[in-house]
Amino acid sequence: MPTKKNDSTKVVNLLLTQGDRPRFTGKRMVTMNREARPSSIRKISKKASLNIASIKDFSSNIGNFHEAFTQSDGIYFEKFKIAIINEGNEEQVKFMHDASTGTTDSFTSEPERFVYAVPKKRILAASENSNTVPSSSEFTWGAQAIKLPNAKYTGKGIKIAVLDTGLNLSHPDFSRLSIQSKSFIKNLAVEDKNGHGTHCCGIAVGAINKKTGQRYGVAIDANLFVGKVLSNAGSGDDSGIIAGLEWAIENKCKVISMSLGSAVKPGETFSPAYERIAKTALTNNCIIVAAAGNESQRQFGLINPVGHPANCPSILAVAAIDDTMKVADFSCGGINLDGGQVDIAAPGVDIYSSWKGKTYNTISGTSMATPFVAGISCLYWEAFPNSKASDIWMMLSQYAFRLDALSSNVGAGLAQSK
Amino acid sequence: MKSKNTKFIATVKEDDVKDVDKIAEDLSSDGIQIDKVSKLFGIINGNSHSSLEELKSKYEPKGISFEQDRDVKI
Repeated sequence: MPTKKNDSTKVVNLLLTQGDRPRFTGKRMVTMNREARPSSIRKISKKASLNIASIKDFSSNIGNFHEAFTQSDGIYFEKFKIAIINEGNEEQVKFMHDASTGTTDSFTSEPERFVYAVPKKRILAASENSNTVPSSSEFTWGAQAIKLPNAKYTGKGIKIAVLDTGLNLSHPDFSRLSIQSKSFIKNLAVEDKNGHGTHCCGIAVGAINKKTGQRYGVAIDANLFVGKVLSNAGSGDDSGIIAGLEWAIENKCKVISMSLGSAVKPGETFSPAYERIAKTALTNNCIIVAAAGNESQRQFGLINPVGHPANCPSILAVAAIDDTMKVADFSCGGINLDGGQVDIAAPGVDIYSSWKGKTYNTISGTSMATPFVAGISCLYWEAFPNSKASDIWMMLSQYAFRLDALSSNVGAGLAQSK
Repeated sequence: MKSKNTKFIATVKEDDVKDVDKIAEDLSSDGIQIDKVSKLFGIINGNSHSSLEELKSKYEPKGISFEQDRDVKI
């Protein structure tokens, strides 16, 4: 029979801190097997010389609930089959665990955590919301909004694939870049005669307008992979896109940007094929970023669901905001329950970037927001080269600038540069 | 009567990804046209005279899911 003892829990507790705040209370949280009998925890704890009280005995008085921990060795929540055991009883918990292992009364145990209110990130005040994010002579408004002027990283050496209508290969803003390209459209070269692909590539990696000196691209030192998966008319099919995705992953791209999609109906679920692809990409340390879609007309109260393939849970879906930090009128929302959430937002209205024929253009769409996030992902990959793709995804969300909007519209908020 | 043509994407079970070539061969021997097989993803692109519903009812019990190859745009 184990004996109670005063151990070094408190010392350990002080060492295991989050900043200046302790992580663990010193108590143990015991979760019974789902098949366990409701009375089993009391029986097992009695064998370990523990006196466990039931929450039912204190449910009418919160004060007594807290007092119960001083009058017993712990509390049992019968409805959840969870018990909280006071500190100093680690040996007893171990005895209970050893005695019940292999039976229907087995359980898992973990340290009880302190829970803190998440510090509120800065949210734009109403007065700030009424102002626009201005372009400057050095940066476009989109670049300013994602805090590109403060970025320490440039995506150096990170491989990024843009799957779209191709690239204006002779555009001067891409001359310094390492570019590999491939067309997945029958009888069409990579050269972009639409403009959309060149625009997206420009936002992701295009850098600086050589004539004006204004910067509009994010990951200026990334290695660009251009996959032409859409025709010069701006359309394609899933099979061509899947071939492009395979090419990008086999070339070890860390980020794939897809400013494309097709509308889905409310209630429609995501594609199992694309979800498989996205999971394979994550396993290969590659994040797929895709446009949420432009089918909404919010001014008339119409919000359409995030489109295919951005609606896959393992694809980062990007919404568009304008220069007042408001959700773009056209930007699709997370209204479907089975997949289809918006993960993050980026500038997508009146976005300036490179265009076909060595020119520039200013256009709008979640297509424009997507390469902003893809470029930012490259900065994070450069900063944290040994991270997993899931870590990069988490950091993009964690460091996003909180917006005064529903997460179903903007996800974690406005993506921020690193 | 005009014959149907279903352009599809088929996804095999995760455990069967390594066998995707063999599964594509089996589909081909059933008269289905195979356009591309992705060994990385376990995905098969192709065409069939059967409807999507017919393909689903025949092959989904065998662990192969079928969906329409969609038109996608910018």
